[in-house]
Amino acid sequence: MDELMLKTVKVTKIYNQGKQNEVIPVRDVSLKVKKGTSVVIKGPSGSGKTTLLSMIGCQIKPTHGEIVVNGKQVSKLPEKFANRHKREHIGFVFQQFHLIPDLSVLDNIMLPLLPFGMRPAERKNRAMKLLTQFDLEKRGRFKVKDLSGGEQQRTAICRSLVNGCSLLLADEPTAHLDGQLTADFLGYMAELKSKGYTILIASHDPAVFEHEMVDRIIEMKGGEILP
Amino acid sequence: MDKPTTSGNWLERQRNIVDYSLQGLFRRRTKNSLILVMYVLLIFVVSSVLFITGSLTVELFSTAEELPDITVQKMIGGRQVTIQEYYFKAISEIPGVEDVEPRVWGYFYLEELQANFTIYGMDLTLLEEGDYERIVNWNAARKNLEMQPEFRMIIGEGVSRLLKEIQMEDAFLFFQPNWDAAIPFEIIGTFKSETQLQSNDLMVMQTEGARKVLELKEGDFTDLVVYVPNPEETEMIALKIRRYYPELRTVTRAQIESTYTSAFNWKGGFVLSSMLVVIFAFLVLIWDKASGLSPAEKKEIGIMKAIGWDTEMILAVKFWESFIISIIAAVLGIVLSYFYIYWLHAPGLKEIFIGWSTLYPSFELVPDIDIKFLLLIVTVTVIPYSAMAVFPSWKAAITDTDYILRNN
Repeated sequence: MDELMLKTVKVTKIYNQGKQNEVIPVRDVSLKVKKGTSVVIKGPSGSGKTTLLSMIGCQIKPTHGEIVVNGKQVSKLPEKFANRHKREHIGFVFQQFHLIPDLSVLDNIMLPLLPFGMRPAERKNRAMKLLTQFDLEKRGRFKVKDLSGGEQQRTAICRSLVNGCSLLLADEPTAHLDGQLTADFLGYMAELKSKGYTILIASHDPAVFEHEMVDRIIEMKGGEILP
Repeated sequence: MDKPTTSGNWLERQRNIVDYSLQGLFRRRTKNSLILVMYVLLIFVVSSVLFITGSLTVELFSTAEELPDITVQKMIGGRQVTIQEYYFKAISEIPGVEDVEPRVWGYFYLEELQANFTIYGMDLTLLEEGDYERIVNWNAARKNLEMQPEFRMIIGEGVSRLLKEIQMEDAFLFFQPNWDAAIPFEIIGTFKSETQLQSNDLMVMQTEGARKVLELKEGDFTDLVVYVPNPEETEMIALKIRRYYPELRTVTRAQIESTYTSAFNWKGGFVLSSMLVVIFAFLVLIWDKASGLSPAEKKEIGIMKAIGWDTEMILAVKFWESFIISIIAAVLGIVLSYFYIYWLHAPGLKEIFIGWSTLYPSFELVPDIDIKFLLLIVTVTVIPYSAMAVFPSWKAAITDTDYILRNN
């Protein structure tokens, strides 16, 4: 359990570097996350949580610093390898869910598997397992745009898990959910944690960082981690 | 959940990409149907023009083989008039001339059917004695009766079709209001359809009968045809004929071929120019494809990137989408065009190419599909369209994922 899943060393992101409109949303962030733990990064809007999560999830590259996921240096990977790392090791639940509205729930969940060259039956089998686990089996053929907010979020969680990821990242996952759905979501996270997933959540929702499944809280402000 | 096999199967991955492309086409079916209709229309227009030009050119060249080396006509006041027998003898004596044949031919306009027939006079017994089974469907029943009326004729299929409409399948009465009596002709056969441009409106008859129908005096001919065994000498002999007899005009086979070819090509260009609206609409369509994607399409690309799709996989999806549309449009356009030209006989378009066809009996266009034409059509439409469609997707795919997802 002491093995590290994630390590960042002085990670900095600078937009428009050297220009008048230069912005530094994340500055010199160093942190370590052990395997199988759940960590919440909390902080107000604009504190750099989402940018940090995006860099860890290989959505954007840091300007400086080093990110190591499961022993692999990912911050300087060429795009092709970063994409491969993303689809093989990272699960990402976006704040806006980012599902394709006119695709069915099943097709949305299977979408990350297409680049693997997996047979349709195998893809479907994996997706169906998750649909059952997240109580969505009756919604498989529904288009995402016809689902409720909670169902959409569960679909997004299923999509993030379908690749058998080891690190699950969630960006403000409860921002669009009511109290009950937030509780449901945290229940799912607790269940995943018990199965050995490493979970990193960016949130400013007290319901999240006060939940019992959270092992550690990291606070950010102005792009830096508060001591 | 266990991890999927890292490498996967390349073929399966391609299949997944094509499946996803088809799914995408279906999801955006309203937009794609509109694109498809425009695209089919464009290919239909271009291939119709190419088909008809190609068929007419082939038809022309197949008939050109039968053309005489030089046709000699007499001109007075810029008009063609009948030519007299003595020219026949004089031209035969020019060195290099193998043979000279005087011809009796002209046109007969049948007002009842509003059709113009070409009358050609010859000795029909030569046809019957020779090996003409290849070009004539003999009317065997009549032939066996061994009736040898003075006036008999063989007609083209177009003429035969028209005459059936007025119940004159076996015989035809030529009549003009200024004549004392009608001239009856027995129809003893029809020409086969191989060279319809030439034979479709033709009535080949006994020379004496043709003279009567065309009101030609004895010793007068419509023109002379000259055969020259050495093609290198044709132009020189034509020049000699014009020098010796300035009142005569010569038309060589090469001149006829080049006149028709350039006329068909010019008309093809004219038709394509008049279809500029369709071509312009297609260009707008390409421009629309090239100038950008809808926010929903951009977001979809952003999502694909965010969950680990490679740029080339996204481009492959977009390429297949446009390629599938292009290929469907090309096949549909070409098949519809084939149906329009060769089954429906190109109504509206044929009249542009055969200007006088409202007078002539209609003729069948013999299918002649040049694979080069088809490749040209596919090349000038499918490739630019597919490339243009991929370009905006490439722009979106190389843009920062985070930026796309935040802004769409």
